[in-house]
Amino acid sequence: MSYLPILPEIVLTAAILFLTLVVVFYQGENRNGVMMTGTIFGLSVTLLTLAFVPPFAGYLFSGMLTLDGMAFFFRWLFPAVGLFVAFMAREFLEVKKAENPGEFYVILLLAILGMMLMASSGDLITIYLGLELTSISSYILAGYLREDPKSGEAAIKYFLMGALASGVLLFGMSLFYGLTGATNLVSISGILHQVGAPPLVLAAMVFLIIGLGFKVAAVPFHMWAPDAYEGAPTPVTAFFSVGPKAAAFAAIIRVFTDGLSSLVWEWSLAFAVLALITMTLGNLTALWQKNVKRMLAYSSIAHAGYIMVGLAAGTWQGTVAMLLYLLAYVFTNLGIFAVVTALGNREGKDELTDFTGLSQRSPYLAAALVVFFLSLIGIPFTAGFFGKFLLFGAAVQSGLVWLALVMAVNSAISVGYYYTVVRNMYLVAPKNKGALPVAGELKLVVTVALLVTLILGLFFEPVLGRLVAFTLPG
Amino acid sequence: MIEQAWIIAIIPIVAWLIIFLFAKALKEKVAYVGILAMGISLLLSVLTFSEALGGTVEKSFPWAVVGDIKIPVGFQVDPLTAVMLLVITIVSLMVQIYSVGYMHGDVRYAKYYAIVSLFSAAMLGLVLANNFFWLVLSWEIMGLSSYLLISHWYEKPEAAAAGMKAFITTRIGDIGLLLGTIMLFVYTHSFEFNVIAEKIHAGEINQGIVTVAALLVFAGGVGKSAQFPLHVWLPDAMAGPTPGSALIHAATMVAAGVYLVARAYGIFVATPYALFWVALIGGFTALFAATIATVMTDIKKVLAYSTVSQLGYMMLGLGAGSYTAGIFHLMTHAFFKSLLFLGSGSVIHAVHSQEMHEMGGLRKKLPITYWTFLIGTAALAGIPPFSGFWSKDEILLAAYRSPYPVLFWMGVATAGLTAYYMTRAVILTFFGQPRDHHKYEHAHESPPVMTVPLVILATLAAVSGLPGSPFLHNAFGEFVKFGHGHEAEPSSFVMIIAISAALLGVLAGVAIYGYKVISREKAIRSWRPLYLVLKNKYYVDEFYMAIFVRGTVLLAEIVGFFDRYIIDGLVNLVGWLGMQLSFLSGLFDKYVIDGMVNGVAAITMALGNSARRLQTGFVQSYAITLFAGVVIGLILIQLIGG
Repeated sequence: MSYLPILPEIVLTAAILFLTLVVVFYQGENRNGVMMTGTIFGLSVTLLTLAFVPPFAGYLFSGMLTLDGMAFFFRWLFPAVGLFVAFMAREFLEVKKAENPGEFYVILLLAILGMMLMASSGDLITIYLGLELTSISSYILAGYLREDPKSGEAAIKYFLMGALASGVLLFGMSLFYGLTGATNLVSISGILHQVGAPPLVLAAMVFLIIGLGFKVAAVPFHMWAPDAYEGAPTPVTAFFSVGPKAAAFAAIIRVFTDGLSSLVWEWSLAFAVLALITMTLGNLTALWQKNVKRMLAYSSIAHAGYIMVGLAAGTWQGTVAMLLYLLAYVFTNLGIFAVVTALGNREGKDELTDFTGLSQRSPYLAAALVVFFLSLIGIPFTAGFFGKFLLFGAAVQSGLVWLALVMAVNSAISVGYYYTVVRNMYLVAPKNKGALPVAGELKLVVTVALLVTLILGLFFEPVLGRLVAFTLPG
Repeated sequence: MIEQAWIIAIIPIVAWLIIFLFAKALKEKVAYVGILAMGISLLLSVLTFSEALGGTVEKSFPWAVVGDIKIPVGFQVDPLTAVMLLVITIVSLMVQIYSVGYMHGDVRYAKYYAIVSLFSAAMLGLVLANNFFWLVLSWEIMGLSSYLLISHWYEKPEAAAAGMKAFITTRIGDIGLLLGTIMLFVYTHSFEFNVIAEKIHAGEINQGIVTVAALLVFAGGVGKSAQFPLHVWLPDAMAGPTPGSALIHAATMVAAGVYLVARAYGIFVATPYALFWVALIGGFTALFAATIATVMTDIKKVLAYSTVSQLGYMMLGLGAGSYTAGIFHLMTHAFFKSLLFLGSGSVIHAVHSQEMHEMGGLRKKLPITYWTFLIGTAALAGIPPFSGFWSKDEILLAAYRSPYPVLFWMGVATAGLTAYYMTRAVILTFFGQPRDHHKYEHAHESPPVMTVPLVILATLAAVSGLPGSPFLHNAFGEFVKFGHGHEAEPSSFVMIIAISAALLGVLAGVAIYGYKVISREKAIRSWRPLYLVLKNKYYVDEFYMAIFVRGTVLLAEIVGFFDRYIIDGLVNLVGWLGMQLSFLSGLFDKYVIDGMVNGVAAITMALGNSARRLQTGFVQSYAITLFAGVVIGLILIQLIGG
């Protein structure tokens, strides 16, 4: 057996082990910066090795891993997310005077490793392992600012609810094992094709939908999200809103399209309903938020709803649309949170009123934020447009015109709360005058996110073509 | 030139970029960039037009091919596009020249020119696109730039609100267009107008689906062309700069909806049901908006409702089955309405007011504005031989020949009302005694940079109807037609009715406002309920406010209430039960097993206490919803699935 295909994961693990040693033994003044550099180096090497290993190795380790096109997409995406978050974290940890800033990076890398594992799983066991590695790291990250009671509250709530959901998920998995005698998704799929859909199989499926639905913060399993997002350190919030969420979607695609493909009618219906209430509740509640992180939490709930439309479609076109949408959403949202971090590092409260007059204090950040919002709304020539367009198309193709309509109405509602921020930035006199000092690496993150958002909006074809090649059946 | 017609849309984009990048260095010189670009575009459009007389060109190549999704890039120049290109470039050029004078000294002068260039580019791209995909893209860019243009003076709250209102209201229609596009794509596997029309014509698509798709596409037109019930944004949009209004409300944004229906005519004709709705909405909007225009006192609001009404006319023409008539009126209207808007801008420039009751007698002070405005009025009112007469006549003819005579009478009533409210506007503005002497004394004619465009547009408003008249053998109808075209047989009855309605309207206006034969005050008093309804624009805005805006707020509040009270209440109930239980078990411990198991009791109490503390938090409510979700999900899946 060759270990070459999982070389990126091995490199990342080595980086984690090495950086752990650095945390313990290096006590210099600038250990925050050193650790950030080390993290970025480790992630860059991971990405580099990914470029050189065979991307489509198929089933590995007795089917424990599935290294197909979709796995390749996510294994590439998650280290990139890690790079963004690491860049966003340094100044934040410094400003908030976090204890042991070095460990932050190690835990972040652990979460990314877990996410990569989830996306390339071929077995319920590896999915669960990856999920727990990600989740436990996330709980710690949420409570990283130990002095801040809000951060502690976020961690406790996230942990309690996460543990419950993991229990539900695991119970569902155990039912599947009991029913089919297999944990491998391909085997489960084969057996289910023979037995059809007896009640207990459907019950097991419900447990899986709810367990994973919790992880993507689908309504009504979303309640932890606003609290956790608000209390967690801002770079961590950025990470939550894109990383574990995308990973959970990867797991959902794996479990449902690979393993439960014979039950597509049942689960696509369930996801259609979840998508409907998730986007509607998310958007409506977002309208009334005063804290920007809470608002973005509800916004990200709504976006999870949009993405679930691809699942509701239940076709490979739906999956392609989901992946493209995730790509657009991930980078756009990271850009938004970079701006929020930059502002929060100076203002400290993350209230919507902090944005007043940002167009004068930092015209670049304000303009970038407008572009990001346009992308989230789905205006043409931004990344978000094509994602939404394909989701619409997938829904209509599957006969879900009503869902496409609801989605369109929802994205119209979302203009309301994004506009509040834009109005504050451009039309309201600043509360605090003077230019906003922005750290260099945050500017870099914003610029890269901006470029990705615009380039994806104009030249999406190569990406889309590759995604289709990744997910085409057969 | 016709082979490279796409360049016409690129030039203003280049202008936009230059203005955007060098705004600080160029200052007010940015105007020349915009004007030069539009001038070149106009020149190229003329060349393209002359070549289009010889034949149609369509070019298309795939931009993105992914599986069975093909997204094309392509343009076409057919008679419809050729006419639109001319109209857009002429009006945009006139507006930009005019704006040099009107916008002089504006705080965001460069931004204004940048947006006007972008706006024009989007509209040109829209008429050049040969497929829905690029049409929707241009459509969206136009929506965005209209928002920016309307809220140009965003310090004024009404301007900021109007921009927002325009953006959101038109978006409702845009959703329909987007869905219609996707539906057509799913069923025909193409975005291209010709391919879609061919497949529908060949009967490959179910009739019901075609109808739904056509109506969805029409929803986009209803939003952009401000048709009832999505007309509410247009009058508010008057808060933007007046030359901008001329651009939005004459040649670009509002015309896009009518253009869309014409461009997708191949889809509409396949299903009589869809065309009937186009005609009905158009006819109703025409009449509805014309009645409101009769009581407006703000000169721009009169023109705004008049625009809504005239767009309804165009829809009526298209819906009644005359492709030619709808486009013909679109063209003549573009000229005379932009003239009227720019004329009103000249008046506003002179007296610094939009209220007609503060004007009066201005014809001596503003002779050029007066004469050109009068020509525009004659054209709009449908007085022969001015342009509006010919195009209106064709629409009325189409309505007359259609199976629904009510459409014809709606059109006739609108024609009468139009003549009336325009006469009223002219008299209130230019005739009689000055009502505000201070404003009158300070009024003076606008500089040549503003009056020259007025004169040019007035010429066009006067003569642009002739190509559609019998004097030129109906050349327009020969050029712009759908399929082989079928001439509706001319009817002298229709022409006589149209002229009578217009004259009647003019006479009524002169009688009430010129000679005061009928007292205005008395009329208002005796018709007070009707007057109030009209003055309040049939309370449509209030209705929307009550239903949609408050409804959304209410829904959000209910959601919040549910979150806060019901689920919390549930949790508290459970918590309370837990407390009672631990209390009971405490009693049990205390009195029954008394003493012996005091330790156990203490632990129970402690647990109960800590449980109570936890239960006041939120986490439990989250957990309860999680498990409630499990239970409900299990029940539902067993009911639905299997």
